Amino acid sequence: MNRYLFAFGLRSSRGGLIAWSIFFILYGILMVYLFNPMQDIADTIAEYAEQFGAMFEIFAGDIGSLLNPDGTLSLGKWLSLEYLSMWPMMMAVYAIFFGGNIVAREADKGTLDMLLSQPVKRTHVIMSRFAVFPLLLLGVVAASLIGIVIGMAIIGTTTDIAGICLVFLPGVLLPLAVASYSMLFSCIFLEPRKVLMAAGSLTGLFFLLNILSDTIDSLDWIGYLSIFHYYAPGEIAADFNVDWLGIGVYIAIIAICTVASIFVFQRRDIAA
Amino acid sequence: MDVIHTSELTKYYGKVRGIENLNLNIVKGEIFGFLGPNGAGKTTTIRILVDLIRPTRGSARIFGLDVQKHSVEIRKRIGNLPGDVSLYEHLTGDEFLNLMSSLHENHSGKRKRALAKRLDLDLSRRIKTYSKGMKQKVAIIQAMMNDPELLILDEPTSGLDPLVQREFYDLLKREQSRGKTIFFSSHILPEVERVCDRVGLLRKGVLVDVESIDNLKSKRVRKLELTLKEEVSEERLTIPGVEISRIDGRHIEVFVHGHIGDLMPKLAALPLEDVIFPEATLEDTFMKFYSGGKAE
Repeated sequence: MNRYLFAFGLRSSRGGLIAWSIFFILYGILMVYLFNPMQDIADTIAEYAEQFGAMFEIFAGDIGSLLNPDGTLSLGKWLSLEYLSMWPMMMAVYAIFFGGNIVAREADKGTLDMLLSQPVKRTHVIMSRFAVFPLLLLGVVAASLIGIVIGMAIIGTTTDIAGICLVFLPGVLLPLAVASYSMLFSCIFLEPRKVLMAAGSLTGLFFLLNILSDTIDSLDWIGYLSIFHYYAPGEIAADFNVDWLGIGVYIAIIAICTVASIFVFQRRDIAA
Repeated sequence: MDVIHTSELTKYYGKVRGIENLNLNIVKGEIFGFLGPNGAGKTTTIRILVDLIRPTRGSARIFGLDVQKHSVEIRKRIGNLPGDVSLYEHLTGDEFLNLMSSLHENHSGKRKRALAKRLDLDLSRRIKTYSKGMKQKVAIIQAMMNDPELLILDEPTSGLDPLVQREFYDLLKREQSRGKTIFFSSHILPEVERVCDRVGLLRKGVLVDVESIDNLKSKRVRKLELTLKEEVSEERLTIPGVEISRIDGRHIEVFVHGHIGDLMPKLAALPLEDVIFPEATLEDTFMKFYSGGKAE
């Protein structure tokens, strides 16, 4: 890895980091703030969940499961469903653009020519760029936690932050996996439009597979083919129960796609 | 030892020929012009030399090192100016050059500042506010600031105004006097004639000839447009060394081979109203000379 390219990548990404951080601070505050009103209508929600079943779950999540046995709602469960479950989905969008642009955008704009004319290995170029993304994700995680803490201070309620922090372990790895296969597409196609199309379609397919798996019992197995299947924030937040298989799957995807990206990028022509 | 040596270097883009069987030897301390019209294969050759693309067959060596196997070692010792200059627009000129320079082991800002001063470029401005010519200056500084042994320049004067072009030619000459080697692609004949010691003529991906500048000048064909006061018979226009390209009443277009001085007394015998030497394209000047030759 080249520290100058890493620093340059970090600097070039600061706009995205700031934008996503502000978004998640505000989103965190909003979701915590909505907890009290939602608690007041917990009974009504439970009725809806019962009446509409699977369809309700697709659009609103398994809200019925959030209720405690006494019919009350807990903030930890509320956040895990309405905030933490959405977090990696939104970060996956960021990951597609980040990973997809690692070399394709530069090749398209022509700046890659100048960069690769310098005495720097191609491997170092992509690794220095990719290494920026985990740091950006950690920055957004920190901003998200700040939003949640501010929200809790506003409504005067607390929940176990350690559980929420633990959710961010697979929560960070999932968008990293998305970024890694987007980077691979970036190295293969070197054209931003094709890269975004390929990475976006694959991510959409994963999302679809996960929904089918959740809603159709006979297709339960198909969920294992989706990266979203291995992300279960509710279980982690409630019981500190991390799905280590899922963690392994994410790490394997990241490792395989990174090695494949290096392999492809090393060998391909950078056309004028 | 040759600074650049290519052997049967060939690149095909699918079925489209980029270059074919290119054999080049560029020696230390010379300025070598790589001349050819657009699409002749100049950029393809340069991209292979800096390892941006890989040859279909053949080999290329710089400083005796294979350009693929030792690309990083080679790039430590060369300065490259790509054909289409694209820079990081959000950086200032200074930040961009510092970034590029930081990728070299031995970098100093002294030469960068001296080059910027010589080319009259304000490095404190953001690149997105630069004109095309200013961006070209940044790219030139980028290629030269680390004091490379070899400069590989793809159409380096593109976008530069004539005054800056002159300054740039002087810079190249100064680098040559310091023992540097320069590989310079262009489709502009006068600049190649002005700067280079030897020239390689490329046509449709094939190196048709390598000449010294003096030989090149003797082979060049000049275009001449004559306007006569009255129409004359074609026999009166039959002059040794002159080839009639087109006759349109009193307007005649000819190609003149060799030295123009021999022609003048013969032209004076014609009822001349006007004589124009239009700026000849490379195709007019050389490709006509080579048509049906080796490239075919």
